[in-house]
Amino acid sequence: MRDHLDRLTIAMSDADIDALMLGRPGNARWVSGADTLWLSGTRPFAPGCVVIRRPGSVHLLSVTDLGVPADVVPAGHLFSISWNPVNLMSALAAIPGLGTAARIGVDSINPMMEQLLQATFPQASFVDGETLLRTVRRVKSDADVDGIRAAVRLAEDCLGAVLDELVPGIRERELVGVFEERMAAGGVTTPAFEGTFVAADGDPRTLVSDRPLAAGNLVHLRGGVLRDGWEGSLSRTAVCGSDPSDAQRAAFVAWRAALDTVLERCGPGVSVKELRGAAPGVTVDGVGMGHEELADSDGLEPGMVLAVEGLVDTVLGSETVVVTPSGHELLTTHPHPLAGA
Amino acid sequence: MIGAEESQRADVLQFDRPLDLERMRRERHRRLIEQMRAQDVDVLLLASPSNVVYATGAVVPAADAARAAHRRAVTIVTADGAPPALYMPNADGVPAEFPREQLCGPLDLEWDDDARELVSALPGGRLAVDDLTMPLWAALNGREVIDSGGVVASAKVIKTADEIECIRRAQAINEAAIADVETMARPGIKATDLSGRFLRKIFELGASSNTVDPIWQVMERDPADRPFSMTGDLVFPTPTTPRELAQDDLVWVDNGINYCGYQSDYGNAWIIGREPNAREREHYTAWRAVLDRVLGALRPGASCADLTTAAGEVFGRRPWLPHLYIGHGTGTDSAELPYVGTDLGAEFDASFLLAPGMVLVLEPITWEDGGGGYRAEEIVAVTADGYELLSHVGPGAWN
Repeated sequence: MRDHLDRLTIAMSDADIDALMLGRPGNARWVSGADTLWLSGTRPFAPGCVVIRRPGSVHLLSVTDLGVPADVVPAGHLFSISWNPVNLMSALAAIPGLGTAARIGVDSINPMMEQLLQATFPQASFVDGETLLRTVRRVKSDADVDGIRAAVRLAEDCLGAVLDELVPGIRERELVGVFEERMAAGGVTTPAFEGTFVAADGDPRTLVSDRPLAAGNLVHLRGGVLRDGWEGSLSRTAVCGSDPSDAQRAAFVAWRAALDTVLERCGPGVSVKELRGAAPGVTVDGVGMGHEELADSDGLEPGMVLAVEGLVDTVLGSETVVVTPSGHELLTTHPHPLAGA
Repeated sequence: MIGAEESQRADVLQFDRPLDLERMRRERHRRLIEQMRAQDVDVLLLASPSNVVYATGAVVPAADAARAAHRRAVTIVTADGAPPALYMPNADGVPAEFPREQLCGPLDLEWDDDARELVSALPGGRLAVDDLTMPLWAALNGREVIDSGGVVASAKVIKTADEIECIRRAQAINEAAIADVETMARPGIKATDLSGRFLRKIFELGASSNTVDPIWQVMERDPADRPFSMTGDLVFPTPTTPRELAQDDLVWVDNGINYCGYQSDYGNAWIIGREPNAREREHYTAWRAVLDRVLGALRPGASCADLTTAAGEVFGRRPWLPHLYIGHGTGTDSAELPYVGTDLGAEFDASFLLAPGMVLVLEPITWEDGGGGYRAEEIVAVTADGYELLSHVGPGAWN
């Protein structure tokens, strides 16, 4: 993880940012390597991780050093959890280098924190730190890609468990439990998101219900894990309890063609916009420590990892790819249940 | 294979008390409007899932923070009492009665275009917000904004009967799942396998989502074996790892699931492989005495300081963790007002008075270095003449 900090401090230097206060868990984990308790959803901004450009130090809001890599966050660089903003500001003010930082980047903000921080650090202007983090996180090292690869492998195993239990009578909601039970058997208890396992016979849905699935139902399956912070996720479409009909196979062929249209273009020098416009119904997003945002104007570079997902006709499916110098490599390998034998 | 006993597939848990979700949404919106008027706020812009679900009932899939930020529901609430505007990434999460003309397509507030579109839709007047992405901060372009915390927390702190029923149901699902998991908690089982069974069960039983990495933390009895702590006290809770539980381990359990937007909070302590011994039973008895003293002080008009005073000291220490609290509210947030015994301080505790409809999770601990200790959580709703228990943790093997 030390290489992340090195890359970040160089980027901070280029952007003339003296310090960063990071509240987003993905940002904090990317730079610190620290494993903190997973909670679902977003929370209003609080500075959970502070990075000082010179001398390149990382300070972490944590009551313990358990799960905190000492080579990035040494002893003495922890500050304590607090419910009292006065105590939190005192702890921040004690971090060497913050009191003299002219430009402090934050990854989000809220009115209460803005007021407190400006009162505590009157010398500083507070600027956008999220764009910097997004940019520096975009290209993955080989070790990072291995992390994503391992997460994808686990997610595929979990999806396999769901397919094994996709039998008439099982309720959609139970399949979330099937996916996550297998995830935990793989040693991971943190989903990237709670899965979508739904009958696909009406308007597209993302939320599971207590509806039992019936033989012949076309079912959208989407699940994801966070393994060591890295996201592995995928989607597939299957038929519950029977072989696909000719119409379902034909829909899959249309899906395959759309996804291939995008994947064929996927290589260095192509813009995200070109990929996004290549086939209707296909989305392109970044993957790393959770979902990562990509702008239309971003150009693909080796080491970027993309989730390419299509909803074409009635078929949902995705692949995760890493951009390579000569094109791309598929990180997802799970077969598509609707593909011909 | 450890835990060889096969789990029976559970049916969706059934409940005998009434729950009217549409009435709950209507009454919450009314409470928000009352607080906006009382606090002179004209426009409320909410983008945190626990606030949007409170204001509108809109539900997005549970997800880690990055994806939740990317696919968020956003709402604009106005003090005139008109239905809120709702920007929604998934149409299936919109309540059936929500007026279609107020429903808008999704916004990704990580980008300038969408942030500007949202800001251009904001009515004039005094604006309160909960969470600002960098593009949203920029798009507000110096417009005066205040924190929404005052309005939202004041509305949320008093629960309607339907909200309390949601918490009761969330807790019932959590407890039913735990009853199954506890049978697996034997020497040799991995903590993550307990998580697996728990996650499977809660969805069978009808949970809307899981909200926190399920915790089965082995507590080291000897201070020399404990991880470093900024407070010098116990470290709890920490993320779950595939550690194998061993004979005599003291495991503190802490889990939270969601039902129709509302949180449960289950806490208990287990000794692995045997019954608690006499000394450990004393930890439980002392914990029970703390809880009974706190419950004895719990009534409308009592202050949070009355609760910390009643808790007293046990084994020469305050009976809660210094970086946390002895009690906290719960609702659409896992921890919300009232807070009891935090570093907000004694004055804060003394100034905060309990009222009917408030919900408190009480989580005292007892601890004796070398011997271990007990921790469990009970959830109570303050009533007109005292309190009502919403949880049923029970002493189990400890009594």
